[in-house]
Amino acid sequence: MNTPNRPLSSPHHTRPLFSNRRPRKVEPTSLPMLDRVLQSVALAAVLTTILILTLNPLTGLWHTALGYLVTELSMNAQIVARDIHVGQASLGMRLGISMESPAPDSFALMLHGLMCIGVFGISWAVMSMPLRCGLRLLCVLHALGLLMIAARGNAFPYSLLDHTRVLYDSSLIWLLLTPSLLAAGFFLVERSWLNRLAASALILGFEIIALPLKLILHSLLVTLLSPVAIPVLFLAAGPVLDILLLAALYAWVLTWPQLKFKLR
Amino acid sequence: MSSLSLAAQVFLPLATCALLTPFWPALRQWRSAPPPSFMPKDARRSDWDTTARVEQEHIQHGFAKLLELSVRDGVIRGAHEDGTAFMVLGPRSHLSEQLPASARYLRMQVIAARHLDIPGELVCDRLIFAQGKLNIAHNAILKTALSQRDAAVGPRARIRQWIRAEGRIDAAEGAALQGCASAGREITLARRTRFEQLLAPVLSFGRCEPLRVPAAPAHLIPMQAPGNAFIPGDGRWIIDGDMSIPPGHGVNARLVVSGSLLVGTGSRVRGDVHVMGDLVIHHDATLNGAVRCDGNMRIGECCRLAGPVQVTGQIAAGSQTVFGSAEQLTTVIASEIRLQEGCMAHGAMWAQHRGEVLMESAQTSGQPGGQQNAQQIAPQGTPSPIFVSART
Repeated sequence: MNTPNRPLSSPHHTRPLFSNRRPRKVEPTSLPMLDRVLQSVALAAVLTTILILTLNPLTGLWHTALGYLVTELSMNAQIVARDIHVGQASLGMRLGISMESPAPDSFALMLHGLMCIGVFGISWAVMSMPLRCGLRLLCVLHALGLLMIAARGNAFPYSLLDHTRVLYDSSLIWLLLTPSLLAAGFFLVERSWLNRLAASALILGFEIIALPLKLILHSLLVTLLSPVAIPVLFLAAGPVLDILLLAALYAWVLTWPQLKFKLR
Repeated sequence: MSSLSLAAQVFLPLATCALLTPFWPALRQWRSAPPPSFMPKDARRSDWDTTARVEQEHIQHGFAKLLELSVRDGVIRGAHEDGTAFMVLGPRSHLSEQLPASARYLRMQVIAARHLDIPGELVCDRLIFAQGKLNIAHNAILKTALSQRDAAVGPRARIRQWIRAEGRIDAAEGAALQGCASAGREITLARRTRFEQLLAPVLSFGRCEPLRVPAAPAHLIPMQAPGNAFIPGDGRWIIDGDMSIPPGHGVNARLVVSGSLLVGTGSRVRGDVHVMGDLVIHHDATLNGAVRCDGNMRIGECCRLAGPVQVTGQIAAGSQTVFGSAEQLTTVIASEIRLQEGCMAHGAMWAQHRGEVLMESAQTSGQPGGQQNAQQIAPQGTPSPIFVSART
């Protein structure tokens, strides 16, 4: 027998592959260019408007969450809230975490210097190339920051309150920009409206939940590592981390299959 | 630096992990194994044609003087600096006369100024070069062979690494061309020959019969997108699941099918096709674009595939099927290629594990085209629907 007798390996054998029936006609799901632009702009505008309108309760939620976490984690910190007003309208609060922390002494500077050298050396052996390069850059920047702090003496220029306020501002601006960025992204890589909506909701939800967690984490790390870690924390885990998180989430939601919504 | 409470010490790693969770899919993708390559694992195998060309130039330049001398002196024997022996044969010298009667193995290079006949059942693991025609008799096993004209590989003879001819290569029944076979004009393989890489403007498999024009209807019915299709607007149809193109229909789109695809008799697909399951093409169908199939591919008789074909599994093609054209050479790559007699290809045919020319089925040989019965072509449970005659 010289003909291939091996059955097809695909599991799609439950229904016949071949049919003489004419396939039912469906309308193409793709939209013209103008409609695509309008759809993207509309989605971005709607989500941004919803975010701005709910900013007041959102900041209230974050304030409550921060207060709860500070209490539960036995942190010697205070939540500082300042109202944001645009004209007569209130747009929520500007939040920050204030904590009494001693100025960095020479011991802390030396310890951080040694940590820089250690991490730089470890990165040589352990890390692969992209991570290694980033970690070394952080080490160099941190070492330069330590030298500058040492040169200025005891007058440490940053406080935890300033740091957390800037972090809060950048995260809030990033949150408000996210719908527009997602709309631009979904304009380039077309997905169904249900995919867009679900992805936007997921990413915005993550950012809303992550904001107080991030502030508390920064406060804990500053408490643990001394205030000299504030610059490197801002560089490594500040707005850059927000951008990387959005990119990671966007890349993940693009791998979702096309979601379909069926009315029964 | 101060200490943290126990709750804070627990909270710190947990919250950090929660914040970095979105990087988990990217990390998994980064750590996962790279996708399987269609190229052979042994990188040397992809360079065999280049190696053959380099060897050819080396022989032509290095042995030019000896070849001129051999015309006058007959046979010249010698050795390279590394100790490899060689023998240069003049126009009137025959290799069989230079070997002992019981010689079975030949461990020297053979360079022939004119034609060269390799005796039957000889085993040679050195380069064989002929300025004229190279005839390899039955059951001979050669490692590498070069000819500046044509080469004929006898029945059940075997080439282990590569063979190159400036003209044509004819492989007789049962021959095996392991590695790369490349020819300047044409490679013809008889039935039951096996191959791995073939490179030539014309590749003929089995008996050379005049090619029949596909019996496609005069007017193809334009096919509409099926219900499970997503159309992004860039000329693609993204099919979620299986798809079947009924007989006599034309598709003017690039197809991306997540399941299996069946192309009906006499149908035509003008765009590229990417099938993640199996691809079944009934006879007289035409695919004008590139084909990529992640499963197995079965092709009926008298089909035309103009573009390159890349198949993860097996390709089984019926007779009179043509890959590429004389004007547009193509490449066919698959793990296993099984072609019936009468197939033809233009360009490169690359079977990663095994390529074979099958004897044409007695049921289908010589039958003219006619009315097709679709149910008879692809019944459920029939082991090989493509090669069962479906014509009345």
